Order: sequence, then C-alpha cells, then structure tokens
Amino acid sequence: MAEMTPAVIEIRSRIRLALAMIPTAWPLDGFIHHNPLHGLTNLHFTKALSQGATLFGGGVWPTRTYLREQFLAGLLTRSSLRKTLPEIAVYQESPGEKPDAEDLAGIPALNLPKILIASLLIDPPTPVFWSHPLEDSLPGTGHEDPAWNGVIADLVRSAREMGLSVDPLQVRETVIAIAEKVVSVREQLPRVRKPSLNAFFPFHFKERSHGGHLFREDVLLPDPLSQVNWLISGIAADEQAIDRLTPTPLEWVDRLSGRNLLTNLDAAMSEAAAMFLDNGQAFWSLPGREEGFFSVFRNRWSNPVLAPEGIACCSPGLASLPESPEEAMIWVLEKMEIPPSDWVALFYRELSFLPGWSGTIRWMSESHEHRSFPPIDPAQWIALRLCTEYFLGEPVARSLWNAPFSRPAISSLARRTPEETAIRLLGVHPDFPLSLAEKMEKALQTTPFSGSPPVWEDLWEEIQQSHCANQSATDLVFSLARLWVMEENRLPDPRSLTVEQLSSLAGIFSRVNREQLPLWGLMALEHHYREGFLSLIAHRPESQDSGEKIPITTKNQVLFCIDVRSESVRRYLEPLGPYETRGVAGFFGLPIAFRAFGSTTFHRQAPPIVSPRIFLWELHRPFAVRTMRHYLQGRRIWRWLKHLLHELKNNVITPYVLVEAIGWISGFAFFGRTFFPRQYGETAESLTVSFLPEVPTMVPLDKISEKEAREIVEQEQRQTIRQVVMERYGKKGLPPIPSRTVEEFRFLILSAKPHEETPSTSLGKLLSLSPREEEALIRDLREIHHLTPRMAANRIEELARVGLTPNEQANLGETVLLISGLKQKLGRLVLFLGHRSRSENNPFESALDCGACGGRDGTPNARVAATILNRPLVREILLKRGISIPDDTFFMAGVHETTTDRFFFYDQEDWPESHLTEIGTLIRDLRTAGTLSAKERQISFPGAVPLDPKHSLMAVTKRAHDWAEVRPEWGLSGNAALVIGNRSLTSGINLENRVFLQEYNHADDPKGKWLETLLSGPMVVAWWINMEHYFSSVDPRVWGSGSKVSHNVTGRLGVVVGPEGDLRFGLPRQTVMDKNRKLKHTPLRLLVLVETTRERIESSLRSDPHLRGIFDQEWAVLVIKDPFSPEFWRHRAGGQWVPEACPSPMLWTAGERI
Amino acid sequence: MAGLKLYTVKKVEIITAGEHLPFLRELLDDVKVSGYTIIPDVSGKGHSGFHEAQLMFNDLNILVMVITVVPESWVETILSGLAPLFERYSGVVFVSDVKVSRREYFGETGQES
Repeated sequence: MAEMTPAVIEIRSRIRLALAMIPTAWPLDGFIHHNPLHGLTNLHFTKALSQGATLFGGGVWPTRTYLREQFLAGLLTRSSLRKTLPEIAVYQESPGEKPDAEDLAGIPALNLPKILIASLLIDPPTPVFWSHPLEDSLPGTGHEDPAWNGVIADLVRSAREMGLSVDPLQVRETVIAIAEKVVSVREQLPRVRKPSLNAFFPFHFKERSHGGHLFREDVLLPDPLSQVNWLISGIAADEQAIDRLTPTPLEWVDRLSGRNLLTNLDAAMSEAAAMFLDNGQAFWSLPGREEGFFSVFRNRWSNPVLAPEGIACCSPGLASLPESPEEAMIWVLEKMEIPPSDWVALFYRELSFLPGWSGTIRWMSESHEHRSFPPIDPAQWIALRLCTEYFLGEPVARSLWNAPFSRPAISSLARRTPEETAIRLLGVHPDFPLSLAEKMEKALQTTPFSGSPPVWEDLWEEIQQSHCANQSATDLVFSLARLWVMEENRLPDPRSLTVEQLSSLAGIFSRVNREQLPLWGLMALEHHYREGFLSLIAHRPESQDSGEKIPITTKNQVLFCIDVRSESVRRYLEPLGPYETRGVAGFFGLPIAFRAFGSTTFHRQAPPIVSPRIFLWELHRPFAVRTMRHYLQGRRIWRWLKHLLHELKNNVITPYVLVEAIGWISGFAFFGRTFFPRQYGETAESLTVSFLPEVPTMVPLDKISEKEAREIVEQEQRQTIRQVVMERYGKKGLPPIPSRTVEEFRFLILSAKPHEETPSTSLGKLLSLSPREEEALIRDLREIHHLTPRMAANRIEELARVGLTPNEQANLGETVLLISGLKQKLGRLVLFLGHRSRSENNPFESALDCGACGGRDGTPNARVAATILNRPLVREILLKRGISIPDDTFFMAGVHETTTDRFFFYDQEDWPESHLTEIGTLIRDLRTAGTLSAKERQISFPGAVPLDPKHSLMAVTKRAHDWAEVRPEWGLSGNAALVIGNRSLTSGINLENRVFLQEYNHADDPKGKWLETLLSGPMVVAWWINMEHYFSSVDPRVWGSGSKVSHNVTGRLGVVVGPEGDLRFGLPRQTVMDKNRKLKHTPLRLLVLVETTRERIESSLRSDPHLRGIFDQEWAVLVIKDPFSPEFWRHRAGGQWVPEACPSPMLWTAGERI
Repeated sequence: MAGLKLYTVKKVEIITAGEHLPFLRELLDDVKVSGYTIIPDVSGKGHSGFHEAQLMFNDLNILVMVITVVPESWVETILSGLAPLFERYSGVVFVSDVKVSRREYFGETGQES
C-alpha cells in the first residue's frame, strides 16, 4: 500500500464519496430492500429519476402500456387525472388563455384534460426524426412513407389496449385527413417552439451508449458546437449540483471512433471481480488473492496470454505501472488531465458502469460480516479500471488523431469539427428516414476526423431538417392523430377544421410539457389508490375513534411484524377469539447480532439503518445431552458425505464413475421434487429430522465470564485441530487421538515463539508424520485456520460482548414494551410472532424474509423479546421503573412462515402449565387464520383456481417445496402504504396485503418523540422496500435482476444473467410480474398515513431534516388522520397541508365506473 | 499532575451526519491514527437549523462526533481527506491544541513538538 500522503488520502476520500452514491448490493443470504437511487435522494424525485436514468440507462416511470392497462382496469381514471392536474406543471398557460374552457379551439366538448390524456396514453409519441419535407411522405399518396403503417398500427393498438373500439381503416382515413389538412395550410400556421418530443423514451440508446444516454436526441441544438459543448461541460442534476456528469474519456473515444472498448473493459472487470470476490463457490479459488485485487490483476493482465482478449493490448502499459493503486491512479489522472474537482463525478460514472459489482464492493468496505473475504477496497477496484481504460484508449487516440488520451485533447478535437463530432455521437437513430440512415452509415465508415467537412456539414443540415423539433407540422399531425383516436369520432371531421382552429391547437400542443406527463400518470395512479384507501378507512364499519378507551385487558395479544403479509392473518385471527393484534417492526426493537445453533458466525438481526449492539447466541438446552450427541454424530456424517460427494464430483476421473454408480439415487430426488414436490419436501424434512434431530435450544441472555470465554475458545481450537487432522489424514485409518495429544499440539501452535526447530509431537508420532508434514500442518493451522494468540484474544474479546447485564436486559425489555405500545395493557398471553419464508432453489429467498431483521428469519428477535420479558429479575427492575407486568402474563415466541401460512413456536419447555389451555386455543386459531389467509393468497397466483381452505394450504405448501417454482409467494409485491396509528383505524378492512401496519397511539406520545422514532425507523425501512419494488417494476431489466430463468449465482454473492457480466441488484422479474409479464406490483410511491395532529408531525419533521426531505422532495406521500376529527390532510412539498376528500366507498366505486 | 511532562499535540473533532461515519472511520484508519472516540446522537444548531438527537432506530440520520488526537504533522493529511466530504455535505471540524503525557499513545515518535 502506498504511503498515506495527503494526495493519496484525498483520492481515497473522493473514491469513498463516489462509492456512497452507488447503491449497496447486499449478498443474497441477507437481501436488503433498498432504493437503487439512494445516493440521489437529496434531489427532488423527478430530478433524481432523470439523473438516475442518465447514469444507469434505465426506465424510471410506469410505461404508457402499463398506464393503459390501468386505465382499462379502472385504476387510472379520468377523474384522478383531472384532480391531479392542478398539482403539476404539465401545461404552460399562455397569457390570457383559459385552459379550463370546455370548447378549446372552438371545438365543442374539447377540453385540456382530453388533450393531455391523449398525449399521455395514446401511442406513438412523436418520432424524433421524420422525412423532410412532410408533403413528400404523406399517407394515402403514391409516395407514402412506409413508416406511416407503423404509426397507424401503434394508434390502433394503444386505443384497443385502453378498451376503445377502433377500426384500423377508419384510423387510417383519419390520419390521412389530418395530414392532408395540416399540409394544405402549413404555411398559414404559426411556427411554434417545440419542447421536448420524446419524454417517454428518452433513452433509445441505452444499450449502445453503454449504461446511460449521452445524447439527448430530443433537444437537438441547431448549432453543433453548442451540442458538443453541452456534452463537454457535463450534465448537472440541478443548478446546485456540485458534480456535472460527463462522459469518461474512453466513452468519447468509443463514440467518435465507433469502437467497443468499454464493453471489453466491462467484460474484463466483471470477470476479474467474479474470480477475485468468489466466496467459496468456485472449486479452485484464484491464487494470490491476499496480495490484493489491483496487484493480482495488474500482474495477471501484464501477461498478454493471461489478459482477457479485449484488453490484451494493455499488457505492456499495465506492467509499467507503480505497485500502489493510488499512485497508479494519480499518474493516469494526470495523463488524462482531469483535475481533482472532477474526480468524484468521474469515479461515480466509472462505478456506474458495473453497479452490481461496485455495490458489492461498497458492502464489503462497510460491512464487518465478511472476514473470510479477500482484501479489496474501492480504490483498487477503480484503479484497475482507470489504468486499463487509459491503456485501451491511448493507442486509439494516438493512431487515429495523433492526440494524447486526455480530456482537454479530446474536447479540443471535438470542438474543431463539431458537425462530425455531433453526428458520430448521435449515430444512426432508429427514427431516421431511410435515405438519411443510408447516408449516415456510409459517412460513419470513414476514419474519424480525416477531412471532408462539407460532407458532415451537409449531413448535419439534413439531420436538422429531419428533426421534428424543426417540423412543427409533423408534430401537429401526430398530436392531432392521438387526440382524434382517443376521442373516438366525437370530434369533427379534421378536414372541416379552420386555420384558426389548427393554429390554436398547435399552440396548445406546443405548451404541453411532455417531460412532466409520466409524473402526472404516476400521480393519478397514486391519487386513485389513495382515495380508495382513505375512503375505506374513513367509512370503515363500526367506526371507532382512537380516543375511545376500549377494555382490552382481557384480550391476549399477538404482535406481528409490520410486513404487509401479516395483514390477512391478522384480519382472520381477530374475530376468532379474544385477540388484539399489533403491528411492530419485526426486530421488536432489538438490534441484535445473532449466532444460530450450529453456526459459526454472527448475523445482523436488525434493519440496515441500525447497527447491531447486542450479541447473542443460541445454545442447546442443558438437558438435551443425548439429542445433542445424536445431532453432532449426524452432522459429522452429513458433512463427511457432503465432502465426499464434493470431492468425487470435482475430481478429474471420478465423475465418470460416480454417475454410473450412484447417479440413480439422484433420480429419486429428481422425480420427487418434480412430480410430487409437497410430498417429497415433507418426506425429506422428516428424514432430515431423523438424521439430524432437532435439538431443544435456548438463547442465554446473561454475559459470560472471561474464564468461560477462554474455555470456549480453547474448546474451539481443539475442535479445529481435530477437524483439520480428520480432513487430512482421516482416509489413512486414523487412530483415536487422546485429548492430551491434542492439547500438546495446541500449545505448540499457540506458542508465542514461532517453531524453529524440527517439531516432534505426540500427534506427529501418532499419525506417523514426517517432520516436513508436521511443519506444514502447524503452518496451515496458524495461517489458514488462524490459530494464533492474537486471534484467540480477539475471539475472547468477541465473546465478552456476548450477552447482557440485568440492567441492559431491563432496558431492552422496556424498549420492546414501548415499541409494542404494551406498557399498561398486557393480557395473560402475549405472542411475539416473527416471520420467515421458505422456498426451494431460490437464490432470492432472503428477499422474502423479514426486512426489519436485515433480510433474515425473524425468529431470534421474537425469542429474545419473550425471554427477556419472562425473566423475574427483569420484571423486578421494570417494576422499580414504574412498569408493571402482571404475574400471570406470559410471553411466548413464534414465527409465521409466509410462504405456507404455517406457524411454529419456540421455547415450549418454558410454557407454564397454567397457560397451556390458552396457548392451545391460540395455536388452533392461528392455524385457522393461516388457512384462511392461504386461501386468499392462493387465488392470486397466475393460473390458480379457487380451492377450499384445506386444499389452498396444500397448494401454497407445494409452491414452497417446488424447485421449479419461480413464485413461491408474492412477498412484498403490491406494497403501497404504511399506516402509523391504532389498529382500530384499519381493523375489519381488507387491505389486500398491501399495507404495512405500525401500531401507534397518539395519546401515549405527548411529546411526539416516539412518532419521530417510528418515522425515522420503520417508515424508512418501508420506504426502501417500496422504492425497491417501484424501480424493479418500472424497468426490471436495469433496476431489477431480470428473469430468474437465466440467473446464475456467482461467488455466493449475487446473480448474473447468463454466464457472466455485472451482478444484478434488485428484484427478479417474477417477483413483480405475472407469467404474462403483466405487473403484479403497482409502482406507486409509499403512502404514509399517520394518525396524529398536524402540529405534532410538523414538529417531528422539523427536528429531522432527512425525514422532512423524503416528503418535501416528494419521494413518498404523507397524509395524516386527525385523531380528534374525521379529517385527513395531505402534506405537499413546501409544507402546505391540503384536505383530502374521502368519498364513501359506494360513491367511489360508482365513480370509477363512469 | 506534578512530575508528569506534558507534550502538545492536536485534537481533531469532526461533527457530521451518521451516514458518513464509515467514511470518517476509514479515513482515520487510513491515516493510521492510534484511536478515536465516537459520540453518537449529538444535537445542536447549525446552518440547517436545530438537529435533535436520539433517533432510536436510525443510525444514519443522527449527528455524530468523532474525536481523535494526533501529532501536528498529521493534521494536514486528515484535513486533505476531510475536504472532499465538506465540499458537498454539511459538517464541521475543529482542530485545537491539547496536552498529553504519553505522546507515544497518540502517534508521536518522540521528537519534540
């Protein structure tokens, strides 16, 4: 590593800042839902989306096809579109204009919403380029441009998708009539300024432009130099932006020379990352990883034979680099002449080419859960990329243009011949008229900047003329065609329109701000959902105000996670008995790091925004000695069998024999899993239990003494020695090793002085090891298995953190009661119910687990919560603090398996006899509620037919066991809202498993501090989940992880699509779409409904600028329900509150039919 | 304190949002400071108004204070790493003289300061 000079420290800081804007990619076993544009949340929602689209090249809005589907389904209504219109600048009024007129342009019944709705929903958008002049390509004439057929087909298709009955011939007639009319009077029409043309599809070139678009083809500037300068000076997210995104030097070279160097670089970097970061999936790991990523690949790629094909030319250059990644990078940046002030933007752009791998490296640099990983830090990742980039681009720049590969040199080259530069950046656009496309292809084949400027000037002139920004008549034809098709002949014959009417319409169309249209569509979708949701709450049966005191002390309480999937179970459970259900963040306020029974590592059991502060582990119960012995025996055999199979599969010779010999055994599993998944799964489960018996376990809470910690560490060391010896020499017929022999060997390994003389230990003699073998064993135990005094001390220190003092336990108990709102309302039985999922062959299983528990099974938190509150000592301490837990209150722990809607319970050994009857009843009722919930969920899967409850339960269980099932459950798909309020707000209402429910009682929180906690904690987690689903839905290809069908798990970290490439973040297509690629998840921003007063929530928002930013920048929608009146108020950007209308559900439903 | 010889070193105090704590820790680790203290949940008033503390379940939105003591010659290195952070995010850094008795605990190699 380089000496940490100020220059090195500065570059490392700038790399960290760039990396912080890339979304973290958590590994598959702890999938965390997050906002892929997390680094841009300081911007307004629309600006961030625009910036994100530029950077990553993804769609960011619900598509027009989707909006039409919703329109047809009645979920996007004219009423919602009209109501949201005043809130958004879709239309720019001209002075003296009356946009609310009902006979715009003198055409009866034509109003602005109709014009805007046609622009929003009907395809095709005005193309970017069209044949020039228009009269030479008119439809219905002998020289009709064949592209008109596509236009008419799009008009018909989109109208039909909205449920309109249109006749293609009639549409064609209408288009011909409009085009002829416009052309006949075009000279008399005013020339209007054309704003952006292609708001819906601004990223045509995302594949070619490699990650993000560089060239906004819809705002083509007339002067090519301005166009080029615009790109050179960079794109800023807003006027306050510090960073301006500019193409990297290699992007410029790629575009100008027509090469594909970036693709080669990305492929090489992906391959390098997959090889280096592999976490135990590969049979042979990359040698020399301990030297560091930069060093390994600098050396490897310095050899042209070992370098990937596309970058072999870089070998001599890479060999000449300094060894330190930072120094190499500083050298390259100097060569590229990029000043430090531009480094963050450059690094951000570089990282965004492979956001999956970059995000994984971010996770590694911030997480402490990956000690077994090889050393890599973000500086090494970027250094290798930048250096290789330099040696890829430099020869091209030198040979083609005799110019250095630096930003100023390339900019100056581009400015010298702006027409050619602009045309080469634009490339052959799919909307180009045929003749223009042919000329372009011919021109682009010439060597860049080799002369003949007139050719480029003529071409630029032709492109300008073909650009629809300069063809207001063409845009008018398209806009009128969309309107006339949408209105289904309710408008007059286009031929009868007067010049004044056409002029007026042309003016109106030109004032439509098309970039705002997608946001308008989204707001209308949200409005419709919000109106329906609030109406249900406002007019719920047995309307109860939260101020009422309901006698609930006799009720037993069941605490669910706020997860949307608990809603149906709660709804079915509540009427079955004296139950009060409450929604609480599923980690129950316990940010723990937990080591499960049989595991060797601690895992985070807390939301990603909270660092675990408590370390706990699961141990077998003292009485379960015999079961434990059986378990350990079973585990040993199981591990041995796995190891044997692994060795046989990966040996050079044995696989040929293996298939013949025992391949048939796999046949049972294959047929069972394929044809009888449920029965096979259940049988396999029982067989596993007989082989590896379930050991009764407990989660001890108390701290262990230093002596105990030392004993544990020593025991672990002995176990490691035995295990390593077993693995190495087991096949020789290993004699039993006495404990004393192991102990002698352990002392030798841990001796502070390295072993210098030839060892001669009892173990060596017992195993008949040669001195060299014995030395090798000692060295490996020290170096590979970390049996060193330092590691032992670390381990003891780690163990000292495990457990809690009685006061800490009481503090946590108090937190649990506070978060559950249970300080004074405890029943006889309180059940903490975590949740988890189960599925087969599903790399994304943890995405279905508890988000509040860091994407893991929520059971440990439920067990710890119950265990703490059952402890007499904790109750005593709490009593002194004024919190009285009744003597007859018993806390129990369980888990809801969301895939199968089954329930499992823990620590049954502790159940008191006095409560057994109630516990039995509760379990029975939960089973009933689970069965009913399964029935409700079962019908939502593609191709499902209604079944009775019992068969529904079997059907969902089958999904969980089926290894070919791509949708074991819908998970959190469909999530739309979060309610922070009393259950009485929502009880009895079917919320369709779309709403997070967090318990909150306004009356118990006079200072609003608890509300602040809920908004900054559970709300942020729900918002991340919501944003993950939003982006994965609007463009599963870029923000999601694509289709599960072509996924390959890589390095045990993530998936790639196909054999190689970037790690994919986000949700798979099958989680958000049905089998016909129709969206199951509705992309909406999270609606946060809080039952509180405006004053209190304003106080909470004031005290937390980050929180306020979420609503002020419109990343989520905030509505409050006043606890003392039936009013609902919506927060708008800038702090205004507007009343929300809540029509009665009958009216609302009736209104939708109109 | 009689009999103890005191040496002057620099105390660097940094206050910024909790989400930048990993940045600060990595920076200080890079500089190889011998130790630092993290005070979470700092509240107070600054350019962006009053900032409350004690968010129970969010470590990102809180304010944190990180304190370290280093030889004077290290301060420039730390500041060169902090400058890019404060170019774009809010936060403050204070550098002041403090006296310590065992300067080798704070990265000093023994030369008189």
